[in-house]
Amino acid sequence: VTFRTRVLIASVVVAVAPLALLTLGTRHEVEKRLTAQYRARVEAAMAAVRDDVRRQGEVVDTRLAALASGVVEEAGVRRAMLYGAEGGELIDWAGGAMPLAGLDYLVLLDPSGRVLSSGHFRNEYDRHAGRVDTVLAGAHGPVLVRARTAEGTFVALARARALELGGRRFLLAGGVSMDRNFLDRLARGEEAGGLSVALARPGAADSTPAPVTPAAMTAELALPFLDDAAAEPTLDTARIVVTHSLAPLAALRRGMDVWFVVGLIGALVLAVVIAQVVAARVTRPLTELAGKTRRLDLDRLDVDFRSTRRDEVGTLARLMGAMVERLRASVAQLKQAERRATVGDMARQVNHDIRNGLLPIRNVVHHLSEVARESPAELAGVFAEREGTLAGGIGYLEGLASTYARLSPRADRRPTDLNEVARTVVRDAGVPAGATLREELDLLLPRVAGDPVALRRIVENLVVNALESLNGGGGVVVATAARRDGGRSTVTLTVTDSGSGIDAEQVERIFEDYFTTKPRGTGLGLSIVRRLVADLGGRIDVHSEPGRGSRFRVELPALEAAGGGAAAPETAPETTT
Amino acid sequence: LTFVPSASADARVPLDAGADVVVSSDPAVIAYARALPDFAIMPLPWSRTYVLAAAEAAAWGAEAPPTAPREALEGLARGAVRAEARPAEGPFWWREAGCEGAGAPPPTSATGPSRADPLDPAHRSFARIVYPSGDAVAQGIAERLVALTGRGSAVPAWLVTAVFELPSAPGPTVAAGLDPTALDRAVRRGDALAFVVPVPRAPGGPCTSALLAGEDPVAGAVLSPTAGMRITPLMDVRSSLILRRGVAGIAIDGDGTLRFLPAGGAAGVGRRP
Repeated sequence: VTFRTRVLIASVVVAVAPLALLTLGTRHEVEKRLTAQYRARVEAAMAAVRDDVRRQGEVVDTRLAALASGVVEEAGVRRAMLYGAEGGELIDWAGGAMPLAGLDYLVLLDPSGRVLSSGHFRNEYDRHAGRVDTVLAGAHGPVLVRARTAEGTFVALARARALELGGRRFLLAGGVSMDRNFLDRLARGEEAGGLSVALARPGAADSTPAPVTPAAMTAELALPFLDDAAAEPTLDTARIVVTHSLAPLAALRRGMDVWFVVGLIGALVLAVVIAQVVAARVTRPLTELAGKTRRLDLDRLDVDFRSTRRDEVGTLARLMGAMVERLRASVAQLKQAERRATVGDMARQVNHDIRNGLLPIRNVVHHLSEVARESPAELAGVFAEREGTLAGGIGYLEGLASTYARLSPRADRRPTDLNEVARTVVRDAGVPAGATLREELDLLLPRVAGDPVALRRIVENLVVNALESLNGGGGVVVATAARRDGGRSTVTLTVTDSGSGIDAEQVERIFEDYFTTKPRGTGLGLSIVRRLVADLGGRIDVHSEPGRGSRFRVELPALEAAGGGAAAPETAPETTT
Repeated sequence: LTFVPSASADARVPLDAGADVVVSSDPAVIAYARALPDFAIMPLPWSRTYVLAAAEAAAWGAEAPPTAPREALEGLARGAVRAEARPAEGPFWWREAGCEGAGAPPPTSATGPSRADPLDPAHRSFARIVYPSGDAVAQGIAERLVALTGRGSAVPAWLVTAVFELPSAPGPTVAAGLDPTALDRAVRRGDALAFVVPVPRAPGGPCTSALLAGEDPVAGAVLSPTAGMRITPLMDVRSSLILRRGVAGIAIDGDGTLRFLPAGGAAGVGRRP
């Protein structure tokens, strides 16, 4: 698991977990409170419905009492009831009395249960009223009666009152319609809040409320129900059902879920972005540091680990830089030791070779000395005889000297003016047509300790490469500058061109042996430059952008300060071998 | 003569407002006028016969025309309607031949074709007995028939004979008033269990009645041979003329035509052969 992945996971957990807990907690609390509130509303509505039904029954009973008293007083109706007089007076009585009494259901039954007068269905006259007389007469409270009219049926909340007349017992039954308006009145205008009142009665699919589901909260009031509209009247139980829809709660839940998902997605996106940014800020310098470290080897100790960061990464980079500095010093010492060892071996070889070369010469000289002492007259002849040996020995030594001279180049390390070297290179450079080459030199530049030839090769290689990258147009600037980094003075040579530039991948390999971007390049120029710079105890880096040009910067230890004071290099200058 | 439209359905209102002549079939109005000394009452000829029309069963096409028991019709006339009514009395002009040239529909009860598919339940959403809206007499008859069908097994046999689809009716019957257009459409589509409609009954004879029926879209639709209806006469209804005394004399011709006479020329109300 990479550091970036860990940061991502941590960010997601930190962002999502509190949000999820908050949402779930809020959702649970709201649901609990609303459910309790709905339950209280349903119970209150049910109590009100129960009270309304009771009071409505009492009102109906009161009105029936008044009508019964009117029947007794009305002579025509009384006569028709008792003596069966012809005419429509009795038939029409209930039709007229019912609206005056504010009722929707009214029947007058004779002692045998036959309809003498019906207000809600005039032509029900003479029909046997089924079980209306027995059921209503025996009920202690209101009864729901499904009655028939010419146009259909309806349900009435009915009561009955007995009427004694002429020694016979008649029954007056009346009620109010329990239609939609009646039920809506029971709901007391709470329909908009999700509260509804419905009548559930046997055999009526359309008026049966939906079964109790988690989507609704209900309470019921059971009442006796007489289906007098059926061919065979039946007595059953009907229910007034108060229902509170949980749709608002469900909608609230859905809304909260939607916003939770939206918040979750937002938090996830934010967490990912933050994780990417944090991870990038943390890992990018580490990646760069790893890249620099990857480039390190004993031949390439010119990697720059300097950092201005004040955090742990900066500390690590500085430690790496210090380690590289120590490595460079160690490598220099190692090379020096190797060189000394090599010189010792060479000295022994030279000693051996010279001794070998001198041996015949010493023999000839010794021979000539003996001849001169013992036979001076023969000296000329002997000399002539041994002259060839002398010449051969001397020639051998001369050849030996030439050979060693070629094997051991001169390490000419002396104070050198880098500005002078740069001027010479610029002066002698062949500038192609359409291109410019100019110098921006620091006149107070301190000298460096090095071989002028090696320095010239460094500057020459960089300038030639820069001119070749111009492709016939653009310019090259050769600049020098003094710099003081802490207690260390350095001299910087910068060669900047506006040429074709190279990409990051090529920059990584530009100092490798045999790597070239030129069609006929050998791939050794910059590699040699890097080694020469390293031998001088310096470092080289490059910054390049394709299409915009390149900038090579060589940093060398200054031999003396810009003001003329001496400044010893931190590492011993090295010579190219 | 000045005809004054009355906004009230109660004919007692124009009487109290000073009308000289009012024609009404409402017994309450007639009784009210009879109690007032300024008015004379004269029953007019029986002018309408209310019939029960239902789908004709193919197997019954050759049977005798249906009739209801007189006791039942008397009960209807006495209690079901608020009008001066009597059991329907024949002969019935639509059962007699000979008036085709006068525009009357030919006899249908015995030989008329049945509807193409009288029992197709898709034609009826429920069992309704239809009457012309606004006709209180037809409404009263229809409601009484509905009340009779609510008796379960005690439904009168004559009613089952008149409406042979009654036992197979889908659910309880109801009464429904329709305007002439909707009623005509219901007749054509068979979209009702039965129809209660008035048929003209003219004193002038069957052909006169046939002419009047030809101008009545409701009666014409029910009696049309293409309707394939089984017609059962139920009751005759007539109106009474209420005349303010001393305003004019009234004479009624043999064909039922009313004639107003000068106040001094005739004493009250009389009939002419």
